[in-house]
Amino acid sequence: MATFFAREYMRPAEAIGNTEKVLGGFILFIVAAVVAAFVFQVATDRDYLFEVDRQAYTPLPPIEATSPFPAPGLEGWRAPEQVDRFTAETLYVKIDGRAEAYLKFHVVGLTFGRYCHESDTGRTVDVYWYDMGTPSNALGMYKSEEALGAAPVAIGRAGRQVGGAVFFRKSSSYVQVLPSSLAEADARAALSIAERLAERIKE
Amino acid sequence: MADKRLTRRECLTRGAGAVLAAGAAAVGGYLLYDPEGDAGLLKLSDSNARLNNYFAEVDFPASNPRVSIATGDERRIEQMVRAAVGGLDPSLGIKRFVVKDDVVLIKPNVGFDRPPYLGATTHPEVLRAVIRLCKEAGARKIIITDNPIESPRACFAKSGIRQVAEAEGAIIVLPERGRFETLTFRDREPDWRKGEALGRWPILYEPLAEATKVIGVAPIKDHNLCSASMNLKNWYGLLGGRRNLFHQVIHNIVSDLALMMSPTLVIADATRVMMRNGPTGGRVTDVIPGGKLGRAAVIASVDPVACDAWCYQHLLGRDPAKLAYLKLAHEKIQDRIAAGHRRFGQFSWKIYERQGLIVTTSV
Repeated sequence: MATFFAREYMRPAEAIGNTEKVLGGFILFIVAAVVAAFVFQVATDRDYLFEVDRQAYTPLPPIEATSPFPAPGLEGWRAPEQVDRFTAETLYVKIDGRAEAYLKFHVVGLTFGRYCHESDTGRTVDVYWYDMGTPSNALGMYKSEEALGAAPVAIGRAGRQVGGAVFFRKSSSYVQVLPSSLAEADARAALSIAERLAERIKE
Repeated sequence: MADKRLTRRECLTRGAGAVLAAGAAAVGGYLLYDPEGDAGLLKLSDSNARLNNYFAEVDFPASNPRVSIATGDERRIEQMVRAAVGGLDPSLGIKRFVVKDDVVLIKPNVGFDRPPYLGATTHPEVLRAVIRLCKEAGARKIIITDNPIESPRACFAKSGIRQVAEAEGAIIVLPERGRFETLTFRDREPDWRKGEALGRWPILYEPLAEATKVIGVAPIKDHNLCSASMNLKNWYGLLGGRRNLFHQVIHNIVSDLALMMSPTLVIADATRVMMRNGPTGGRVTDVIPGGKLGRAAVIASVDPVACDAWCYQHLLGRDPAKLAYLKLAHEKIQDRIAAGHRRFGQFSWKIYERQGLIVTTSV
């Protein structure tokens, strides 16, 4: 039997069974139905394909919330744009020669960020946020570096301020907030940043 | 249909072509093969860099002071530097050490991204005074370099070193990859049990190779690992690679550095001395002007070992006899002097004191 393209079927039409014919017809019907449904949907309800599921959509948190460092809370200062993280193994990269003192107290890691003054890039407040693993390790490290004659401040546990720099511990954290100068304005900035940071650290 | 059977000629031609193609692929693969892989990217040049003796050309009279201390007010840093250097040679001053057209490398300690008031880095005003002295002596070029592990740009900026160098016309050489060469300090593996640390190691060689004179300008600091960071430890900043490996043998490496580097002059910056929590510090109460001396000071010396011993005792208030790297450095340098090298390396500053080779000036 000749076909549409002048080729011959593999089998003569008499050799095709009724069951095969019914199944073939059914498959053709399903394919045609799928195509028809698709064409109908696209032609009549295109926007539906691009509609956002408001229920499932959760807005991304603002950048401030994803950074470990809070907003400085002072006009003219901006929060760190870059956050550097160091593990116990890489701590020497940041505090070469001093890292071993922290390793003795089983430091887990250091998170470093720099607050910058918007009009004077030379004015900065550096935050060294050490995760000491446990509160007792944080206490041990904090006490080992404790400054003589430092003024107590109500930040974290046993917060101290000396020469504008603020030091405190809270939970397993030991935090150093170091301004770039001894100027009073920079000391105020360090204090404000330390307060906000301490609020963020959970007991 | 025509007979398409392969002829003998075609068979040989196609066979030869296939063999040639396979051969070309093999040769190409061989040429492109990189046995080191990514590790090759980190490999430093396989040179046989050697360091000069930067003191060798200094015509230094034996009777001249070896250690010169200038004390004074913190606001008179330049005068202190001038007085300290001048004390080593009252007639020529800096011109005893730096002559016209010299290329002077000044090596401050810029190891940390910390502001000057914390005393973790060389005071920028001390550096400024040294640059000015070199310029007055006719130096053709003044290079400032160091290899901090932290971001070099950040360290040079935060410490105030960059600003001073630029203002005074000195050239900052940052520790970029191409500037390192492998120094063969020993042709064999170092024996750590014998106080050795360096074998072959990358150092910041390019500026050293260009320099005709080298001046170290180091702050005096407490150090968590080796008790004190002073003139000898300052050369650590010339090392490249994973130098934290040397922390296990810190006294060996500092004494090896003392042997490796024979500077023209060293200047200890004791305008503020870090008495505790070193080498990073962090509290203004960690630093005291002049340390135990009680007054800001600058110490110039042609003998880095004696200078460190003096500083360790008078500024940090500690016993030099207990500082292992000083003793090791002394022994190593004495061996070198016995072999004919021209340099100083006296562990006991008291010997110089008895010989009248230590002078003190107040400005």
